Amino acid sequence: MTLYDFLKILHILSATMLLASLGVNIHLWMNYPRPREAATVAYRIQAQTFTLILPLILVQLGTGFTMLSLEQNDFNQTWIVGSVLGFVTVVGSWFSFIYFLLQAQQISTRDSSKRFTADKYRFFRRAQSVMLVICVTALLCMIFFMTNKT
Amino acid sequence: MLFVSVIKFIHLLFVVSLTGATFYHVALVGWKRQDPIPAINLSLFLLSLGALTTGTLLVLPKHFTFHTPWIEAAYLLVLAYCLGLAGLILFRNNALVKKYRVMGLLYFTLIIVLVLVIHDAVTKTTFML
Repeated sequence: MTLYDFLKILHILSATMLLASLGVNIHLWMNYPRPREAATVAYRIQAQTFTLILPLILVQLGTGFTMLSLEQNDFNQTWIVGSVLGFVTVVGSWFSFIYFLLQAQQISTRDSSKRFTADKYRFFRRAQSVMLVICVTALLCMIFFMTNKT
Repeated sequence: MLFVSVIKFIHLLFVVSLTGATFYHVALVGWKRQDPIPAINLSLFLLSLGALTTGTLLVLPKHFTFHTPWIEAAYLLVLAYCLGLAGLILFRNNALVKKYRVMGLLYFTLIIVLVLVIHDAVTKTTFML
């Protein structure tokens, strides 16, 4: 087994773990939509992001770029540009999702006016949904680019 | 060509979801939570069936044959995975299988089987045949 093959297997395995942890977090977020559960959900998602998702993102980046340099690929190829853009979008939208999650958590514990809090919470919940849709779409596009290298 | 690309994409999604769900299974056993396991077992079966079907559809368009050693090995390993999973479902009430360490070890064996399939698909060679 060559170094390239080893890195490719590592890349695939870390991608599976990354997708599994993203899936578990999204499932958790969907199952606990009420404001009083926001703190627990935010804490668990934040903890998983920093202990599991972030290290796996770094592994993905490291193995991906090492494989590209080992294969001596031209970095201007469509699938590479598409994958990198997709990756940036996935990471950006995931952290935006976390940001809106924390904002929702803060208003649910801080603000006193109930009506104002509910409106704001709904807004942040919608923003989280939008970020997750962007994240999942970019993820699927990225996987499509990488699978077919076209 | 687009058909093959789409099938390959779906195949990869099935494989990644299958491996990810098996990892999640091991994590659940590690957290000593057994409630969601039956539902996930069913989804593992469906995912392995999906991966098998899309993989079969890819063999001929990708200029392989069903007698290519690593493809034969992949079929055998997926069969072993499904049999292992069926065994875990059938004997889920067995006192030995219910022990978290034993269950964790069994699911870990399933992950090893999947890693072998991924290894064979990446290197296009096999340890088995």
